[in-house]
Amino acid sequence: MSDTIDYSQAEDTELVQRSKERDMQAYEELVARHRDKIYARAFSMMRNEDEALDISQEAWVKGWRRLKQFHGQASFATWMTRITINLCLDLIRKKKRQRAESIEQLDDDLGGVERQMDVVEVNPTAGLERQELREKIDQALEQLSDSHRTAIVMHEFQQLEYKEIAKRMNCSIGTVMSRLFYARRRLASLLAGLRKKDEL
Amino acid sequence: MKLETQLSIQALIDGELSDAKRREVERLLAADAGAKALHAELANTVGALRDGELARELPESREFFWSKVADEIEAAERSEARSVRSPGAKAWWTRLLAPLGAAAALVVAFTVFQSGGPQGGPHVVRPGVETVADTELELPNSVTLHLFQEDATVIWVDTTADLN
Amino acid sequence: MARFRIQWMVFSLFVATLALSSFSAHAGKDAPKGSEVKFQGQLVWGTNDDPTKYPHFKEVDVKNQKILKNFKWKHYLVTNKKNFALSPGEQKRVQMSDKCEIVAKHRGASPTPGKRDPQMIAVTLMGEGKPVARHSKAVCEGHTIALGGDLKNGTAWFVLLKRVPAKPASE
Repeated sequence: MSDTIDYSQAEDTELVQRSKERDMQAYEELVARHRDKIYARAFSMMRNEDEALDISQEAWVKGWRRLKQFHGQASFATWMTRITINLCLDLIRKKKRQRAESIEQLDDDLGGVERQMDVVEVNPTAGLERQELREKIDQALEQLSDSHRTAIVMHEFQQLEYKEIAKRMNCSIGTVMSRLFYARRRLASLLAGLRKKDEL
Repeated sequence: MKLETQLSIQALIDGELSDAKRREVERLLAADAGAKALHAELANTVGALRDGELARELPESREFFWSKVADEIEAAERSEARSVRSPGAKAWWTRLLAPLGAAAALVVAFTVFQSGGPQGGPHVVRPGVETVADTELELPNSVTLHLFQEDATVIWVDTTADLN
Repeated sequence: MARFRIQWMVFSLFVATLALSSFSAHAGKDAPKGSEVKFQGQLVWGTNDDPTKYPHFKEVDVKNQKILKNFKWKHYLVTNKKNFALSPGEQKRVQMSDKCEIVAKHRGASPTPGKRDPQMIAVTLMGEGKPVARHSKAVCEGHTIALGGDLKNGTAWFVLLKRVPAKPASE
């Protein structure tokens, strides 16, 4: 029998090392540990259960095949979410190619309505419980365009810098900044709207 | 307010400004109520989004999801192995290998059939033994024998492995 | 004092039972249905060499000889033996030699029930860390899966996986 370890108790780093040595049971444990996080990130980007599920599966296959490229600079979970985001971006681009030029692109170029919106003076999220807040954010994210949502997910959830987002989204830093700006302004307005709706 | 100014206020919150630019924007915030209000709104939104991703459970069991991932991994590795095995440019004589191999296999099969003995090779089949093309093994060049009497399934993998 | 101790023991037992049952219910939530299977794995070397040259290897037993007589080699020597068990949903890696490893996975009860408790088992044979062969089938009690292939020196390797019956048959 192979040398026995308790996979469920092992650290991620040990499981990664064993997975690099083609130990599929170790990788299975990593998948079990982080699959919800990966799925949640894919869902945040795609807003579609089937697409998120397919991307999660593809991400784990890609993760296994690229394990040699993982040197532990970031955590394994962070590395996997990067793979997931890249797959999401590929799918978003593919879908975009199939559509006519979208309104969101025009918004990026012209400034969008968000620039003209009044500033939300009262913090619409003050006093909300964390879970309630997450649910509200989730509802608001649903209403953003793909490019605005992607910018938000990459900056706020993946904690990438402007430069890194620009590289991944294949656009200029200026475009990233404007996408983030419009997305945040729209989110503020949406969150305020959702708060008002609850108060009625 | 210009878009450039608005984006600078945002960049201040995101920590993406140089020291000189940061001081300039901070001076603006102290002097301009509109800029200050925008800064507050953006900061509130950024604060709300921090750790703001809704947790979701993958809607498939651990077992089922892993079996799909494992199957995909194996399929990908098989196709990779195949592509390594079949280089693009082939010598002219390699194209003759398949027909020559098939002819040789026919001759060998005929000889084995004629001799009727079990000493001919690994795939000699006796009565009561069913030979089927393998669909479960998902590997090229493999044969499965179902030995009903011996209650066994024998899978012969046509690969030169050194496993001892 | 003694009465208090007994009461305390009864109470502890009750709590432990509750904890165990809730843990096992939770742990089994995602596992497929089926029963535990036991396997005996053997790594076998097929050769025409004189077996007395290899005194530390024994010939396979009569049943396995019957299985392997379909092949051309005169002797089938067991080079390693490993026993292992799989619960439904469980996957195990069993090292048969430095280069050969079996990854066996219990995929739950067969959708077609039978007298000899068929259970879905996937077996992947790993040679030097890479998958060499994969077989997935319903395996009944007493059934043997034999995987084999040529070696470079005109000999052959075999991995015999026999599902050991839960209750030994009276012979």
